Amino acid sequence: MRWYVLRRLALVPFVLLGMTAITFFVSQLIPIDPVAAYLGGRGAAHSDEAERAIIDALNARWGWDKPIPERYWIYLTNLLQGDMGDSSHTARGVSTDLANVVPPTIELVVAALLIAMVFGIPLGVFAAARRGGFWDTGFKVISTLAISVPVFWLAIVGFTVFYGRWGWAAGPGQLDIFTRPPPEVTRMVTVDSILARRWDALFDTLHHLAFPALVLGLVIGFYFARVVRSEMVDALESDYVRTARGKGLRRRLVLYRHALRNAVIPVITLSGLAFGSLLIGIIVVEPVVGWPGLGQYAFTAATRLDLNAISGVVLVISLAYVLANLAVDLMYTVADPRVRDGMKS
Amino acid sequence: MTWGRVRRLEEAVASTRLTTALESLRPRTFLEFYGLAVIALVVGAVVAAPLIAPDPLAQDLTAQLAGPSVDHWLGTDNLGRDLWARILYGGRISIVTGVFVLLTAGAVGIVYGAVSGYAGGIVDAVMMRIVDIFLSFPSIMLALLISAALGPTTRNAIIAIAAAWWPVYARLIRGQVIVVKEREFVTASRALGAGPIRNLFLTVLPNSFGVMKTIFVLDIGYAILAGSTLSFLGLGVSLPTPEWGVMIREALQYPTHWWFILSPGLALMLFVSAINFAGGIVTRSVHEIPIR
Amino acid sequence: MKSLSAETTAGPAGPPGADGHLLSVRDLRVTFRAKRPVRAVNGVSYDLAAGEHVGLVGESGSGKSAGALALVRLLPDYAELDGSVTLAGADLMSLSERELRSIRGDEVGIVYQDPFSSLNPVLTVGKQLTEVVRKHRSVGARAGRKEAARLLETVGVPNAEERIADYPHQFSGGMRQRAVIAMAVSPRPALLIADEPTTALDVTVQAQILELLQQLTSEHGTTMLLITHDLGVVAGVTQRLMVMYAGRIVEASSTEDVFARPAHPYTVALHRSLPRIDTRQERLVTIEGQPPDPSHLVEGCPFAPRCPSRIDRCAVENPPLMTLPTARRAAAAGWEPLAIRERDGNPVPGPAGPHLTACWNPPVPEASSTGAGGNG
Repeated sequence: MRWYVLRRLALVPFVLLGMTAITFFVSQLIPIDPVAAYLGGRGAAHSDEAERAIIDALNARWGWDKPIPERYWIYLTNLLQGDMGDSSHTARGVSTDLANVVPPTIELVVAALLIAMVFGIPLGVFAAARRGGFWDTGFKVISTLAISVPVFWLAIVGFTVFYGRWGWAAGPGQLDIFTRPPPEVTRMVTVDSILARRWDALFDTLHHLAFPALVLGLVIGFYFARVVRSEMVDALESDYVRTARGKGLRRRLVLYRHALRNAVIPVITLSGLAFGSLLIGIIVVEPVVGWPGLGQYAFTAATRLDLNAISGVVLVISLAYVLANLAVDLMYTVADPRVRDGMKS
Repeated sequence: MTWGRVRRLEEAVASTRLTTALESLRPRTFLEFYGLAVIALVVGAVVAAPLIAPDPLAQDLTAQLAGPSVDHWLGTDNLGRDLWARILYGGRISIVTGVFVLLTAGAVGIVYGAVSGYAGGIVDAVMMRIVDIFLSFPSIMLALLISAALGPTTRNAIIAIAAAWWPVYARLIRGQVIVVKEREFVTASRALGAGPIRNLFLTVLPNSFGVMKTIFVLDIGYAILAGSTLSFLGLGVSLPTPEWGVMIREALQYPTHWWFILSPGLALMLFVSAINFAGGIVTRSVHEIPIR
Repeated sequence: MKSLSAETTAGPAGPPGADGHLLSVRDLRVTFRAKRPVRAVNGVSYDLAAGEHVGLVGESGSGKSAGALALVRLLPDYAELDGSVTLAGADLMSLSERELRSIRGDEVGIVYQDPFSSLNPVLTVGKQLTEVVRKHRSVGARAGRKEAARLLETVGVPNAEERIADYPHQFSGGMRQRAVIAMAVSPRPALLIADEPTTALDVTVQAQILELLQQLTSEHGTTMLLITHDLGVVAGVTQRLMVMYAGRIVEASSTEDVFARPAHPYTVALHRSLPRIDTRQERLVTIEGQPPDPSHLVEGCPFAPRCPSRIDRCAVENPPLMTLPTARRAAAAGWEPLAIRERDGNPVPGPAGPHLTACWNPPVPEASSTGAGGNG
């Protein structure tokens, strides 16, 4: 097992390097001259001399007059120093922007993931235990609709009804405008509120968090539930479940101790993929409900074709995805004793 | 052994696969039947759009944001354009995007994966590590970046999503090829001196599509969703072309005019879920109840 | 589900449970729902007395495993059951799933064919043993664990105290099967079903496992139904044998009888396929042809296509289970089923029952029962 974990860890830097390479070369695809694009974005320089000076500065920073491999090297060294270029729509460094928008997104991701698991796993077990029956068919219909619906549309419609019409959901932002924000420490308002013991702010921000987290959590939860169901159906037909039933064990023990313990192992693997769709969901749901995170930033960047910002978002999200999948693999080795002993990989 | 015998072996494999495929393509449950019916209905309506709907681009500024009526079955949008027409014409773009993404990603992935699996050894290892790197992106993220770099058009959106998706197919087909290339009829055809290219494309590949077909059908739905997600982000189809994702983006400003926001989303959900329901027809052949 | 019991219980065995039979099975049928339904078990009846060891022998696909697991309704959802099963007076077919739970494990223990898949791979052996112990007796976690270790020791697993913390994959095949046996016998069931308990194991381990089963069941007076495709396995262990073919019992008698005077051509063929030490045989004789497709029922005797001693009647009429003398006279006189029934009643394999066969032309035993000779 240790060997497997080490090999898995050793692979991460290569994957990250490959990802930066892809990101870099894709951003080189842009059909216009980057200098012109940059200047066009500013539309500022009037004299040739001023323009020359800006171009020289840019070339010094990004090596745009150098051949592509060298440019990649410069890009990489800049990246390692935290320089992802400037965003054309905020006119700040992309890294600075990301530092502001990532913490709220982490709150949303964690909340949605919790909801998805608490809701999805028992639902999948429930459907599998009644496979072929009325409830299972109902589950099939609803979960198929849930994975077929564009989540941003669901968020818009839901937000219109629950916020616009009934006023149950909170409006845009992390806090009401009348709520005094807690002192900024982690930039995650929930955590900051707890640190400052500001229960009013905590309650308020949870209220704001609830709607987007529920929309994403339910959609991803149905995805989880479908995977859990199909793995459970396989497990329930296995010999060891037959053995457990043959012992005369209670139904709940057979379902949760014997079948689910086995079924969650592949579910763990697939939850890495689910995390990917969750990240994509974040991007499209945040702008709809006005949650000031990575998604809203990406949405604006995409609208303005702000390539540096988009690359930054793509890199951050992909990094999160890679790390999540690494964590999933490590969890996998813990969950399956056969993998732990190197019997299976 | 002669070429004739090899041909017969190949035909035997091919024909059994074809008949079982046809047999399994009959809808058996209500949901599968429903899925097929909706797909047929939507595709039919979208193809017949010029016959059953007005011009999707014609603006009528006297009837902006009008609710459903006899003149405008689904109401009008903020520029007074007929939503029924825009849904139908938008469906054309959505569906074409989905199909072309699959064709492009499928073609690239299949050739890449087949070559990798057939070559084996170090070539395979290197080719698969490249695939691994592509797979480390959440698929839409890469599409987002490519689409932003190339500029927002339908063609670029197709390229972008296909570029993000091909590694999945490459990985799948490689796994199949590795299994199939050791089977009797392949060794037989190799023993007869069939060259590697002929062998790969005429013998190994046609027999490696088992898993692919199930994934492929379902993926059309997800490709349509991915395309509309890009459009919603402003990176797919550009205005004023109607497309379901773009229409949702337009309606974002007018959430209280329910007909405006509801129709494109429902159209997407209806069509994609129909594909998923009907997908049971193809996936079932894999998950057939075991006899013993 | 038990609609047939009225007719079947009228047989000579009398009402089930009334004459001291532990288990009475009447007209058991198992059908797997599929595109073409698979009739795995096709009307099987027998009685088991308390403490008996009975073998159920047949090729794979003969329905012997399905028939045994059907006794406690342990088959997948797509299996349809019919007939009646009475265990110590309780009708297992009409019990609710909840009521069955107190029968499974407690009254009927099962040892499965494949110890590699029948243990849960992600739970320790100790955990899987303890849950049986604790289901049967209300003891605490620690006492349960202690009892589990003791059980594992009685079935011959060395270092049981430490090994209960192991996962199944850390056990060898034989050790796993010992653990499965420990689980099955721990609640002292009245009936132990051993479904091909040695098939997946190395030859050297097979004898040990059989010996263990023999020893444990004899100690506690447990009835054992030993299912196998290998006549060699049942020889020293069982008192009675029932031979199954295509979902029906085709021969039944004492083990001694079946070995010395096999009265069905299929049993003869099974016999011939046994490796022997007493005659120099160059290679094993296998039974020609394939077992019939259970989703495709044919008229006549299902063994007829492979049978060396078939007569015209075999192709059109499936022989019922008859006593051996009746069968011989039926062969000579061409009796109709009605006449046969009049003579025999409705014979059911049971303790001390007569030699039964389902054959229109039962083979005559050879003078020496070596069974060597030409290949049919």
